[in-house]
Amino acid sequence: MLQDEDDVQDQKYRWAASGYEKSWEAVGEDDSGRIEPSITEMIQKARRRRLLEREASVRLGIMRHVFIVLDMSQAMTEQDFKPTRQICTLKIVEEFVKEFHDQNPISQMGLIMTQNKMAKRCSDLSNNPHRHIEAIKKLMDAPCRSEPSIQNSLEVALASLRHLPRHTSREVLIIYAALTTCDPGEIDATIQKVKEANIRVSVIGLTAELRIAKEISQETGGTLSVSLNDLHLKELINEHLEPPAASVKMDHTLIKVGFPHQVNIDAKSALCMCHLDDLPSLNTRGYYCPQCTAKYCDLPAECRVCGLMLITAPHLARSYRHLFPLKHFSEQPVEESPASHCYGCLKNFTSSSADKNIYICETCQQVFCFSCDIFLHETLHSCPGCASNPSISQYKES
Amino acid sequence: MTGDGSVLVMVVDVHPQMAEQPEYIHSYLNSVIAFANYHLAFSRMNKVALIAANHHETRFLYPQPTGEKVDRQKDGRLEYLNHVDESIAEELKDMMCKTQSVKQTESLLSGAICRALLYTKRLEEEETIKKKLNSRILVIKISTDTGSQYLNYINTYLSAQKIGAAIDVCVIGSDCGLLQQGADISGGYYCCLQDVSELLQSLVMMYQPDIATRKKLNAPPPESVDYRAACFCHHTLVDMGNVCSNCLSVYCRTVPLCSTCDVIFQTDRPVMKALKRKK
Repeated sequence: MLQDEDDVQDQKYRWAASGYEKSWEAVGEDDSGRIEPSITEMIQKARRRRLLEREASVRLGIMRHVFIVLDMSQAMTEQDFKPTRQICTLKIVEEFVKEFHDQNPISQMGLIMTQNKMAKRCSDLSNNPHRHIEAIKKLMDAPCRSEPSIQNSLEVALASLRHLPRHTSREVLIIYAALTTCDPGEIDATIQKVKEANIRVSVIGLTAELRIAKEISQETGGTLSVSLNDLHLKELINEHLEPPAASVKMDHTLIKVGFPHQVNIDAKSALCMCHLDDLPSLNTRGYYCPQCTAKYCDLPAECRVCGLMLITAPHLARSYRHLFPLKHFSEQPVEESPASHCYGCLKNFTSSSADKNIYICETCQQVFCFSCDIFLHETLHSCPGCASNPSISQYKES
Repeated sequence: MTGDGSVLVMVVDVHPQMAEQPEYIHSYLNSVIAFANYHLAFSRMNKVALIAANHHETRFLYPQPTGEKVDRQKDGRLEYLNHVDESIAEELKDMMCKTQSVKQTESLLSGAICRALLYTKRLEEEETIKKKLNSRILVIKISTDTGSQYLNYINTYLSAQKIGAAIDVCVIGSDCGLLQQGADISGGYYCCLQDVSELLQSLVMMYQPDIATRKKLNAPPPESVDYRAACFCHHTLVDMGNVCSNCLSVYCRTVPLCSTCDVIFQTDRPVMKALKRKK
């Protein structure tokens, strides 16, 4: 049931897991008697390591359809994650939902919860984060009851994901606290069905590794991980922000999309189609579907009338960064720096003792400080040095 | 006005094509420097940075990496303003002397905006009490646009939106759809001027108030922004297009294979068959 021998040796206890938490051992005074730099260095190392772990894959499943299965059984009421497993997990998932839609604009997400031996869809597949967040808010107050069911959850996800076009990447992410599952039938049959439908199932356990979870993730090509503490759980969930490599079975097709016009000022006021349920007021701001001229107040959206996918050019470009990631910069100690200051933010390397290393873009040979390096790779995704060099930016173009 | 002061990073286009008319360049640079002074003089807490971009490089005009030095007072002017002006003039001269032959018609503004973002981010981090800095970026553009820096531009807009720095855009001459998108995404103003003589007035009237204050003012209504994508085959803007599911290239009509990533597209028929078999 537990992990392999090697794994157990690698995994440390919570109090020994991260350098962070035994910082009293690692903290030392620097020449000026300050202790801040040594802590900063620790944080720096951890963040950069995470960036380096990411690898660019050739073909990615950019159009993702993800169902998150949340365990809402009795096991979620335990208090080993503060305040409870339920609140802790839901808070992390809420952050994840926001970040997911920001980084994967043409992808969709849905929520399923399982309790009482049943599974229920909390929110349908959609690319509107507000609905999911509302659903999560409701779950925060919901009672956790009885046992969960993996099979039922998979069946519910399967029912929605099966009919999607074949070029999409279909994923299920199960966040599971219980050590049991209460299933109505043979779960192997369901796993086979899931596998045939080309759905990738990943499981994140809160307590321990389950054999059935391992089997599901192995069969379907997903990942299995068990969290040590709340920080680790967040890390594990956030790993699913990046689109996975495209599976071999995936077809490639041309997808028809619409680029809507913004409604001009002298247009007649109309109801927006995305908020029809909440009785919106008539207004003139929004975007028209180019096929059926239905109005939407926010993009991206799927046209409710004609089913056309409505996006803008920047949304497409936002996904390009997964396809053309910024190369890693090489690390050098600050003493060997060819420049006296950071190219991006003009920070002087000599004055700030927190900077022990500098980072050099290998394409344009410009020097950056640590915080710029992180910002460029986590947020900006393009190098200002390369963008300011006519020969490189032209080379990129061709 | 908020009492905390605001940070203004000006990204100034100094493409050599402006040097064709001497009065033009004089009026242009004067307006830019006057506006920088205006912003600094407005509040003790205000900060300014200038980044210039031409077809060849981008460069910080003020502040300089070597650090601050405040000179003696001259002509009864505030020492600080004098220092800013001198620093700008010095760097500009140096930059223009190094300029080689002009092949590109476009300035490297996207690189300059990248640096502006990094600079604002640093100021925010250095703030002792962690609070939201009131920062914005003002892009003044004169050169023509080719769209070759598209990806860099979009990356900067999305990051600006994420860190909450607005990008204001003031274009002199022809309209620039790409920068207009940036202003719209990040929540700044966009304005297209016909002549350089209008520059200073527009800057002071429209771009001086910070983002919080603007809500209380009546700005001209924003023009509708064209968010259509250009197709990869003919480079024309399309209303409805086809997107490759692998690399997201845009095509204006159905093509059998993607020219960017060499993927062969499945036509509709086999897909339908496969679905039927499953049922």
